Amino acid sequence: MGDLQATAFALGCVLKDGEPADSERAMAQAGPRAAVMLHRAADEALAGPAPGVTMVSRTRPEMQGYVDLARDFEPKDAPYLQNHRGHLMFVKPEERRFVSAELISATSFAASEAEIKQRIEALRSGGYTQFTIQLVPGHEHALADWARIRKAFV
Amino acid sequence: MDFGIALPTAADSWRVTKEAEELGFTHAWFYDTQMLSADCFVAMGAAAVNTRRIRLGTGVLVPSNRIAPVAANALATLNQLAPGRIDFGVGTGFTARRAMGFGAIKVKDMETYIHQVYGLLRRETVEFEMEGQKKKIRFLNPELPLFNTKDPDLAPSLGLRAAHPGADSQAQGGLDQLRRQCRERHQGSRGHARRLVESRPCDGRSSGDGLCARLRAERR
Repeated sequence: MGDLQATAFALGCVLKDGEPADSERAMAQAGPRAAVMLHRAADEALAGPAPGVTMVSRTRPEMQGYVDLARDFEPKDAPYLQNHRGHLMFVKPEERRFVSAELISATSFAASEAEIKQRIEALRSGGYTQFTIQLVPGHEHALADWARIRKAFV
Repeated sequence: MDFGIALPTAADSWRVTKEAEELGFTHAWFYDTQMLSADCFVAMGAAAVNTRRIRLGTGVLVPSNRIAPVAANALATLNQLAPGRIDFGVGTGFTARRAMGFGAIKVKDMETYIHQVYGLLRRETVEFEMEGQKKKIRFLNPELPLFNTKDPDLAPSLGLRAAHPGADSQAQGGLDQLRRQCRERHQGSRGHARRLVESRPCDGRSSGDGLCARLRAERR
């Protein structure tokens, strides 16, 4: 079935040598993807999961901590307004303590250039035809890092 | 392996899109999340006139937020500005709708919507329901050069397979399933699927939330 094209969509950060996955730069570029897990966990806790849509999202302590925080989101009849602010764009100040290096590593392509290339190669060998990286507002300059990654696959 | 960029849409997203084009990226996907980012069709229009090669796609449009004739019109309008470079990405609304407190729509409703949009782009008469009434609709003046439904054909036979957002299979397993479904149900047609991939995509963990159907709005 060569006609089916498949895109892997990700956020990430090309880390420099020794740079942790929760550096300020990585937090800005990849942290919003990790925060998505928090937002979903809060959605499920506050509104209930949609029928047939099961998300494994409250299995980590960071998520439970965020859910506890989200129970106080205002207004009470619309907690999603605060929950989804910054979704996929920035990490809210109140959620930053839950966006750990481990969670960023587990949910994004925040890694060394060599490791990112390995992961994309794994996608390619698995049949994916496109790798799409989401850029966050204010960090569009990260495009240069991903252009360097791209060159390895030309 | 193609490389693309996805953007929380900004009014001036054309700037980074143009830069991406110059750096060899083949696709730019614009979020259609009304309460979170700028309007994707306005931004894609600016990108269309400021780029030459890069493909421009909604990433992704949510059926409930734009009725089918509006979406079809916008896609045809963009195709007038950037013929053959427009992709119609569509999803069930895990981001755009949740930001408004609504859950995702049903995949079946999304499929109905896609058939309506593609039917309109094929210059067909389609049945469209609004305000509890079903009406036949079609573009009435497609021959005028106001927008472009013909260059190239915007609506090839469907290659759609919408995988459920809750799928929890491995990334590769999910992709294999998509390929099987596409082969079984739409043999010979083209499809395009997207999965939001976590850090170690082939180790058995996948988020499942970003899987959606995407239709290539062009014939290659």
